[in-house]
Amino acid sequence: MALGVEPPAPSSEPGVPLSRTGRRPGQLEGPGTARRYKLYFLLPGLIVLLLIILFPLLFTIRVSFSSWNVSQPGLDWIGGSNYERLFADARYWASLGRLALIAIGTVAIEYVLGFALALLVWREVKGRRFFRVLFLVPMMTTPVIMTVIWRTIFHESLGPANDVMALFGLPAQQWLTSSGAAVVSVMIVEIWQWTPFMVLLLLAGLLSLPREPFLAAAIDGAGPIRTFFRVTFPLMVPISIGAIIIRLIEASKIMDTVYVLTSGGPGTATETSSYYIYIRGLRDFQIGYAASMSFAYLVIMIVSLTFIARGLNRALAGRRA
Amino acid sequence: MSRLYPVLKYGAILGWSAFVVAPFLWALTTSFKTINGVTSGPRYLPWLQYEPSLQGWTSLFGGTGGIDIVQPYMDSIVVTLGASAISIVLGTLAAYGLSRFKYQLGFVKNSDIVFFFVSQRIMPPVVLAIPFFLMLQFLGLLDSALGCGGTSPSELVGSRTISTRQPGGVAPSVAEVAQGLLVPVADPRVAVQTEGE
Repeated sequence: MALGVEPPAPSSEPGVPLSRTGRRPGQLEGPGTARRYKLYFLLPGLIVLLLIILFPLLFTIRVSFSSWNVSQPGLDWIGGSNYERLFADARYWASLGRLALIAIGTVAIEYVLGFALALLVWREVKGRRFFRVLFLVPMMTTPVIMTVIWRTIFHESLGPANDVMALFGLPAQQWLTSSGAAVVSVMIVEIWQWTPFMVLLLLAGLLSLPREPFLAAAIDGAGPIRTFFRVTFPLMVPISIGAIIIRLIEASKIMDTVYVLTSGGPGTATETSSYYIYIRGLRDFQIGYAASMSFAYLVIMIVSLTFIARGLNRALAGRRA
Repeated sequence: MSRLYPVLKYGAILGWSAFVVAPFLWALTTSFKTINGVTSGPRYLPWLQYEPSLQGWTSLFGGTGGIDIVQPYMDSIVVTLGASAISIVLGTLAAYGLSRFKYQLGFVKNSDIVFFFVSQRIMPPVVLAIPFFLMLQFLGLLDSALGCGGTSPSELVGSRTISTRQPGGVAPSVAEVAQGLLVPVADPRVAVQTEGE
């Protein structure tokens, strides 16, 4: 593609006349051609997304105003009574709070662990190629299958988890049947599976850092701890924010781990929003009510993630200044 | 400090490696157990702690009481390859266009289009599970590879757009592709679709 060799010039900016320099003849005849050309890149993806996302989304919104359930399938109009029921549904809000706890807790731990591990295999370590690959393995496995294995590990009498606890002189836990420990179990599986993602992003960030600031710090006589807080961490802020946001988005969708490991139990101790919506929608078949929960959930997620992104930007970038 | 540091470093690396590897080893050793080996408490070492048997493996590969593993694997391969191919083409095209050109349609600018793509990742699959379920039911595609393949790209296109725009994004996008090969299989929607049969 001839376009690829051109520098990212302002030539394609609408309204700005094309600069004649550095452009071969016969290429990008004028602003009109460029404008049409660039649409060919964007439109296929955009149209497909609109078809398979926007239409179902609008349909979900419409269904959320109907009483569609197993006995009365169909699109009638009942106004906002699904949403009234939603605001009174304590189980829904409890599941949201639980989701916030699990998602933020796991991502915070994953970030600290991931950063530490990325730093460990960043430089002079024997066999670092091997460890870099090994650290990424859990991410490449299928969550459902690994969760089945974890469920056997957490078995109270037959699994190794309590064996390991005994090794460290700790009391045996009811990993999946007491409400506190079940949340911890879900978080352990999530951390096991997704810390590699953090390692990957942060290691890629570390490897792309320029060498000069480290040389300057070394010449100025900064020790390893000071180098980290004054050079490495500030340089890593942008990619850290990106990694945390991506993981928060992914973690808030947690469903398969809960489904396999605890099925939301014991009671509703590990029931997250996705799982509760799934129960109401596709198990109880209260399609209308589940649609209103889905839509409310989407709005809440977009708003809260926007605020979290802004807060992170301010907290971390402010520190850099 | 300087003498202790390598010990701590390699200790941490080996500790985490053990945590990473443990579930795989547990699955491996469990796969050679019979019912007695499983139900007599946690056992780790074959011959020393339990009597290993190939019962599980032979039934996997067509022994007595075996299950068909070929068809599910074929389904996975068809769904993942199809979804990945579509989403890589659409996602890289869109990401290239968005990083290379400036688009403007009224008040909609590049950053808004990027946010639209990325917001598809925010949307949890379960939000769309119900309309997809009904749509596929209507089209008679429920519990078919085509249905799964059709719904997966929606997620993957979004992820491809993020990863190619990340700083130092080559490594993440490679991993995302690898991950994308595994994700649709694990997607709750697949379970949802087969359950609704």
